[in-house]
Amino acid sequence: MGRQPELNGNEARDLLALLVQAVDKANQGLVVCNKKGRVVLRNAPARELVNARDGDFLAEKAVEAALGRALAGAYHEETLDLYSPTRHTLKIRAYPLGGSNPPSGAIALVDDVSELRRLEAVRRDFVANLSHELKTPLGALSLLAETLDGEEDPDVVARLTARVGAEATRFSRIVDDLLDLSRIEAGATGSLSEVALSAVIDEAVEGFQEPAAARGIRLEVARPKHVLNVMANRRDLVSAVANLVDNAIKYSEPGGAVYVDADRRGDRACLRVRDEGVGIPRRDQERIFERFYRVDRARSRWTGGTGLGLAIVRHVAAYHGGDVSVDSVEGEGSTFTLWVPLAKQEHARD
Amino acid sequence: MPPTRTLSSPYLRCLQTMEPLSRAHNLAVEANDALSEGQSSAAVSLIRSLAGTTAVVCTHGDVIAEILVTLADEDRVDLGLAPRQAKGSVWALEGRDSFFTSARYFPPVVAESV
Repeated sequence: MGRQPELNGNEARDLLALLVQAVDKANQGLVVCNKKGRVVLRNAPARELVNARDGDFLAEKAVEAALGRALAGAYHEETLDLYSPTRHTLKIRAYPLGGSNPPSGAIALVDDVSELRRLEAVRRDFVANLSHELKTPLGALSLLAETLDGEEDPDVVARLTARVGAEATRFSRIVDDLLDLSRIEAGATGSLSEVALSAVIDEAVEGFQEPAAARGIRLEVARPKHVLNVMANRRDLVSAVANLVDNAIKYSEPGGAVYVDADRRGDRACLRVRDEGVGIPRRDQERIFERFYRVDRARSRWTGGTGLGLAIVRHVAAYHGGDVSVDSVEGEGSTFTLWVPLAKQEHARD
Repeated sequence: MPPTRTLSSPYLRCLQTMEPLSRAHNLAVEANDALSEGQSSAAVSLIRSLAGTTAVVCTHGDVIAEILVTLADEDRVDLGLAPRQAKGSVWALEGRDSFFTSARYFPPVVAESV
């Protein structure tokens, strides 16, 4: 770093004012004290993170203590869990300034690491869940293979072989959905273009008529009354709608019906998939969009669900600037609504 | 811990497998259709109802696979990475209140030739 040129009093004052403003723009809290331990500078984020409002002096005390340790000549680092006024976690790092014997001051850097902590916990849970989800079909394959070995009854062999196939399919579906999800989360989705929602619906329900009929479930698709063009990644939107239709069929009882329709609400298209199936208990409704969250594990196993379908739907909706919501009454059925912004020309036209 | 109940698939080969153990403990073999070949949810319900008791159950490979996979998935019982179930092997399940917490595999005991 080059040496600062000699400054006169005014220049020094201007530079100081400039520096104070500059450190206010940092997104990290910054607290500087002189060699006597008196705080001489506290930038805006530090005032935000470390203030004594609501009687919470803990953060301020911790920063003062850290500065004290740094003034004694040593780097100091600590993580502080606070529960008031809201639950959050601060990371405080303090360094001596201007040589260590004795330091001429100290600086404390304060970061709010709450979100980081939360994401770490989410990732840990995800890895634990994922291992479990993959171990289940693998364990099944291992057990079934040994059962098949030496089995002579052709009926039993046929049944076990079908089970092996189903477990292998489940395993590969989980992997497929995971890859889809990570591609969507990474934002590697390409650009959005204008797509007719009716074409998306047609493509999404294609292939479901037969399995629905086989289970005695009516699949009724109402074409939108108006042309509804949305800005979308066609492939992902089709997969989101297909996921909703697939679920609706899986969670319907024979004799029930699944209805798909689309409509326009302001500057958004709203696509509904309604079933008359088992419904979702209220306590689970918030969580069904989480990865691997299942209301009924046994049912999910029988129907070959991966536990990732609704997470994919939510992510697709989100990156389209849309949303997905559920309205369900246990024993009566569920309605999933997918909101997607209309293409510009679309909502200008009336 | 001696068994307090012995249950078996109604198939003759299962009943015969269970018979000596039942006799040794002065118990009757309880034949139960839920343990027949091809059963799944009925077998799982029966096993759940036995959680916390000392019962010995004899059934078929496909039913055992179904029970173990269900408990691994729903109760998060750890079966290990490559669970086995050779003919004549035993799985010891521990749990209570319809919920299982552990499973342990015992390979078949090879009978000494007479």
